[in-house]
Amino acid sequence: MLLLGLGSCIKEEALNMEADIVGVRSAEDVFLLDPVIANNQVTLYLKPNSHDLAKLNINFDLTPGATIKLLADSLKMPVGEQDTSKVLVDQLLANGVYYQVTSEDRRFNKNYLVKIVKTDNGFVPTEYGFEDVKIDEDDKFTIFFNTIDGQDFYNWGSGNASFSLTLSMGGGTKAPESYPTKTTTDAHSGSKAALLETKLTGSFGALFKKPIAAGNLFIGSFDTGPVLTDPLAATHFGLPFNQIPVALEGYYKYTPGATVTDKDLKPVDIKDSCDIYAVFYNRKQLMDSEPDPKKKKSFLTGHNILTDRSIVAIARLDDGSATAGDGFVKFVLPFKYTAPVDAADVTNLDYSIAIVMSSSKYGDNFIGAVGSKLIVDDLKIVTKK
Amino acid sequence: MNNKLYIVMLLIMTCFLGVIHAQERADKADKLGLQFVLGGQVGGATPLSLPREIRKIKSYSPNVPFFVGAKANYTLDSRWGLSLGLLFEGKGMDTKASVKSYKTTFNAVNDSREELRGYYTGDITTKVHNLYVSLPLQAVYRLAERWDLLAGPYVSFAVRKEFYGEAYNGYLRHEQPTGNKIVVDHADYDFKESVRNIDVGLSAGTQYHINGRFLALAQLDYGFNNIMKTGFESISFGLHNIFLNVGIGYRLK
Repeated sequence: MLLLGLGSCIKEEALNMEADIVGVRSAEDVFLLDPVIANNQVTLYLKPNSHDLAKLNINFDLTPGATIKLLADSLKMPVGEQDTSKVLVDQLLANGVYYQVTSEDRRFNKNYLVKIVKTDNGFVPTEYGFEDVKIDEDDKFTIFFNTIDGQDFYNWGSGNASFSLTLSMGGGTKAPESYPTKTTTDAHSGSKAALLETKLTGSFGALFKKPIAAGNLFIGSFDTGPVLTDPLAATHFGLPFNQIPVALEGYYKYTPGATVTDKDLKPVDIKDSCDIYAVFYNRKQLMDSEPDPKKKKSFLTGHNILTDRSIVAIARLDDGSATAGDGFVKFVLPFKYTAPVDAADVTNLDYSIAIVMSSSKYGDNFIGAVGSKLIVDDLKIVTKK
Repeated sequence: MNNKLYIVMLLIMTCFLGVIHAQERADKADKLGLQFVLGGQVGGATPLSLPREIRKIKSYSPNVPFFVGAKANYTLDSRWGLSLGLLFEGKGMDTKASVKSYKTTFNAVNDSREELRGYYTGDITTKVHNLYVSLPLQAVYRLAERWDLLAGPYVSFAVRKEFYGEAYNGYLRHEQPTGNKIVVDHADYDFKESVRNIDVGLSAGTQYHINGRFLALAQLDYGFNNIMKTGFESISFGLHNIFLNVGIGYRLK
């Protein structure tokens, strides 16, 4: 009675506290892919031959009631340049521009790095030295990107964003080296290589039955939304690629951890192994195969990365066991084609490529050994000339 | 402040007990009475007014809704008397509610030190099953021939504390409303370590003498203090034990 009495006095809804970019629209059909929206970064992929960028009329969909503004000091006006919109477009293409979203209740702000990618000549590079990294402002994890001709490309995703939950819960230090995916100075060339390490998820794992986190790094993006409910769906694998891949090459060293455990953290009598593979798939076919426009995805996920019908070729490391000695071992993984490829469609960016690396091959099912370390450097996609 | 309140109340009770005890020896024994009471109660651990974070109460049911015990009565004059009780009672509820941007934490059961903090939007269940031993001290006023009014303070000592629940069909913004968005279909919390051991409040009600032996009781218990300990931040508003008790009494003497 009492509670029913109280129930009748539900108060007026509070103003929204969230400050998200939830969508990006343009008056014209200019996007090659759905915009990739992470918690503080938005990447827009333009269709090839999008010429008149000054007329790009882009609107952001926000949390209801929220407002957005360009952070003026993120726009670097060259001396003598007056045309703000030209500078804006140039910078959106080069390093990106920061926008600030303010919540409806005006109490919370969030900055987004907005980046436009021109795709005319392809934008997924064929060589990776893992030298360019950025540290996430809030959670201090490593983000790998590539700079080509002064333009930044955020092509690599990892599960680091979700590991910040483990660090928050366990009271761990939020520093790049605390995360499963990071850099090491133990490089084959240059000053850095990618280091993937399988980590214990502690009390977070105990709470959500996800006891370990394998280090992973892949071409694509990571969505923290489903990490608890459907972790395989959190990894969005693949970005458009306009060349026909022949082989994936690189240098690696792998040291498995001592004891492999299962999803209940019980020991399993196998040795841990790493996984390195690349998948070339027909993205147009993938999207056409889904009749429901709301479910259309331009990427593969942990559910179908090796099984989807749109896949035309896979290159995979057969033996992911420990590498001999201390040094780097070269791998050359030929793409094995299982379907014909239309060269003209490849040039038109209808295909995508995903490179996926993990410090525990079955880490997606939470089977692996804590302490397994995979170091990868000087990755190269050899393409058909 | 709260501790002072407890001490004052305990002192008052001790004084009254002393008075009753002293007068018991001095006066005739027929001024003393004893009754057993038994009944049910409905209510909950509830905010005084619903905070804006709660958008809808989807279900509510009482849990452990009982009280049983004894009350000693002392007649002062034809109108006034005093009553001191010793009750064993359950103050509990099970609720389902929809919440928006509700600041909370999720923790592994029985381990409230390591928590996942944030702002949760979605559905949430709350299960409070606390058992108390209570000492109510009440002034009794004879309103009419068979009607008494009762009012006075009580102090309750928790003998079992349960406060847990689950979030489902929603999402968490990690740490801040601008933090990473994480879909939640099942996340537990357990706050029993943060439930106070002592609850102090005021009760007021009435009793009706059906005949020389039986009486019917109805009263409202209102807890002054937040049932959660000071420093508990996983629910951003105070929760008070507010219960309506209905029962019967049997006069032994």
